[in-house]
Amino acid sequence: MILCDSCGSEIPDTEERCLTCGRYAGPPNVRNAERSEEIQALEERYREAYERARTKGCLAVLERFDQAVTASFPVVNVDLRFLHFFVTSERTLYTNYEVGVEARSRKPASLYHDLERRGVAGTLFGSYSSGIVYAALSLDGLGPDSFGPYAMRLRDIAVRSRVTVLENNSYHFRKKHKIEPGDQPPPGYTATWDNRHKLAVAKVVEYITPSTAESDFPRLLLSSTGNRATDEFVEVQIYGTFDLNAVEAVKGNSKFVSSDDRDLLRMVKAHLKDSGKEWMEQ
Amino acid sequence: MDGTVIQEAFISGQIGKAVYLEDDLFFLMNDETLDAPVECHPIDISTFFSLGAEIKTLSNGQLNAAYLKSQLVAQRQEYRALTLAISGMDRVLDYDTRKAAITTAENLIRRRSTHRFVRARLLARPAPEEADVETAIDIAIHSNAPVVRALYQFMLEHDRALALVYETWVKASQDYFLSHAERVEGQRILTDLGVFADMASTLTANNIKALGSLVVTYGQKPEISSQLSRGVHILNDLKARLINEWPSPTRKRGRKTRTVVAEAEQLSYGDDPVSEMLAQFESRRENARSRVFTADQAKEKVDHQIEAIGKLIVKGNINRADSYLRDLISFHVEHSEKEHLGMSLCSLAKIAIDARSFEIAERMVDYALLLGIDDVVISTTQAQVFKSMGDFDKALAVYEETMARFPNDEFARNGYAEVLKSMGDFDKALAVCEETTARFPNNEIARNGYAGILILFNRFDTARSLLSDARLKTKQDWIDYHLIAMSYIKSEEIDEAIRRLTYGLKHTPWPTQKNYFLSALAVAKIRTKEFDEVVKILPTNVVNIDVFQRQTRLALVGHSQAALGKNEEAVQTLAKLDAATNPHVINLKEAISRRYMLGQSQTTLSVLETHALDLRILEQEYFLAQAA
Repeated sequence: MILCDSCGSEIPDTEERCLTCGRYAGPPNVRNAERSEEIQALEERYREAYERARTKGCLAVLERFDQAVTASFPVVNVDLRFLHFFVTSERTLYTNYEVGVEARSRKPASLYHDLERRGVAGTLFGSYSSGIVYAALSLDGLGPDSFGPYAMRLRDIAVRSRVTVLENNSYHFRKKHKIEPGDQPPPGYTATWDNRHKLAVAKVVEYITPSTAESDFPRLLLSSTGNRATDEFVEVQIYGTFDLNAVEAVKGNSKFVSSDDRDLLRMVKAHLKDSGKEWMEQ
Repeated sequence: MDGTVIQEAFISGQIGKAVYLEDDLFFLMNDETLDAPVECHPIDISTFFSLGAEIKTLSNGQLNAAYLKSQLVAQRQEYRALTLAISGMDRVLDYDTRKAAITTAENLIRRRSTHRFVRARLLARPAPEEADVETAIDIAIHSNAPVVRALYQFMLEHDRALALVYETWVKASQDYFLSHAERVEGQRILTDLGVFADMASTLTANNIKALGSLVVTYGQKPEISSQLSRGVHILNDLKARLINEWPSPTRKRGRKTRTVVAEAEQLSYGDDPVSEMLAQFESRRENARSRVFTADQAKEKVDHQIEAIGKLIVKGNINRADSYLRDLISFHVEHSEKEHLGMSLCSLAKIAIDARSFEIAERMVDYALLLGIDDVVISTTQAQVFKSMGDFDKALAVYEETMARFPNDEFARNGYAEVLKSMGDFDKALAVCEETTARFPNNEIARNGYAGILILFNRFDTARSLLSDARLKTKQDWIDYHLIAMSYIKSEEIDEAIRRLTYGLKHTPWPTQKNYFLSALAVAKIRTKEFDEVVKILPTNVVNIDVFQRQTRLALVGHSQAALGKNEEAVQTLAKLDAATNPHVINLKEAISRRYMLGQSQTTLSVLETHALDLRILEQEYFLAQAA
């Protein structure tokens, strides 16, 4: 728990603002990743990774990978129906006919309660779990397509101040480290945005060999076979929500869709273009 | 998984997904996982809830995966059709894309529930400036998409009314609800029911009376009573505000309408030929009526004329009815007094109400008011007309005014209680009945009204204690007997109800009452699933029953035919109710059609839906039988 700069009250780890005076304390997930315990543990793992790479004779490769990940970005994979909804969600023509538009960001009250008590997010984030939006860290604009075939790439500026990364997706992370509700996750597996490269290095060092090419880097960071059980990626955790303005581009495949979906995709592309967003054909 | 009860579910037809909680785990259902939902990852939860999609919550304690799947499929189709219809108006899209959207929307909207949803959403607000409706109409014409075209056309033609309805709602809803969340939810309920679209339609047609009917129709819907607190009040208030705001055309007959509160405006006779005839009373010298007939002879002739006019009204032969009415008025002017004509006009008004010819009923009351006599029967008849038209506020106001002028008239009080009952204000209705019965303890009608409301509160013993079946001599005695029998249906003592109703049917000396016993007996037989008996005992081609009775019978017979698996016959029977305007009859017909999947585009029902519809049908049938 930190102390408020303004009034000196204790600010709970799960709160964004001081409960006494309202002073902004920063996203709780970022504050958690900035704890000295986390930073030290991550630093230790990072150092060990470089040691390991030196031993294996792939230090240069690791350094290149490390450098590449500093340019990585978050992607959110969605299906076509969601994509169409999202790219038209800011347009008056469509929002005019949505009844819930004014209550859009409000989640059902019961959900807060349930997410706190059950499920993966509650175990890892507790009471601010329902404030987190999840993405995956990517180098080439592709994401885990078991969550949808279209990857929305987010702009760095839209997320960097409120985002953390976790070495695996939360679901697998909890199982791998056998974390139960109330347990503290092991330190060193989460990082701030600026330190994401350290986390990635610590994660993939065992898979790097002297012959690993730069073209392999995207698959080292994120591998997707379309199966949730085996998809592997560094999870990005964004505190709060985002809108179409946060999207840089969308990557997907136009070829394998039904005729109905083809029309929908055509609409999506038209709207992306109109909004100044890029469509990247996979 | 299908049989397991789901604790809570969230559906977004907009993005075609559902998330539900089962055995303490979250599961995701979408296109790919409809039959085998997968456990939710945090990514699923966050994209579902945190990125702005419209979500509905289901948590009635009896959910299962099959029901959830059917809901998701249905809502997904509805939203898809809506999105495509909107896309047809989207300038950002090229012609071919818009055409493809309209063509697909046309196919989807053929399903009635989808059309209802799309219409309700599209026509709940005025089209935004960005909407290219004119081009959309052209494309719809060239694509042979008449249904979608009709929707676009409506948007164009009702733009002013849609804007007024929406703006009025935005202002008024600040008064109805305490919180923003409640306002949004209230708006969603009214939007998805189609209330705003229908209100705009009646305004554009300048059919202000139909606004009142809308209030009745929607006020009776279960979504209003169960999900929207003070729903009927909100509808009435909205209606009143719209009437104030909407510029109304000049009335053709040139007379002023009497206001029901504060000072009455002076009526003038205008240029209506009937009105001119009524004016002849003014020019007649004191006691200058003819004495050719005795009082009894005159009454007999008048009753005969009233009967003849009444039959013409029921048949809808209004021109001839008007002609006979002029004869009746001439007779009264020559042979009797204003007060007698007033009573004749009120009798005709009541016949017109029974025949659901509300305009004629209103006209009869207006004529009676033109006579300028202060008579409680004219006032209460006026209130009855307003009530029948669904204008409950005006009906209440007239009754209140009448009760103030005639404090000893129990009919006004009973009528007041009946209006409160129709508005769903059972508590107040009960209070009025209790007070009326206390003031007029010997009045049978007051006791009967009180008992009727007590039965709705399931206070059977108290209700029965007010009624008597010991002596069965007068018409009122048999009305009491009928109500006691109805109470046994409500308390689910069906055998006792059947015994009494069978006795009443056999022994009541009043033919019109036999019809009420017959309908109630059919309702009881339906509860014991003796559907073939219902079809036998309820002939639907009887001449001497009023429109309401006939419609009740058709609904009961249609239900029984459907329950017996005679779907074609059921469809034909229920088709005879297409012109019904009574909201209970309409609701019952719809429920029967859905329950037994009559009609081409009906979908399979889950166990829960079937049960809910069965209950709704039984409730409506009971209400129709008691309302008689």
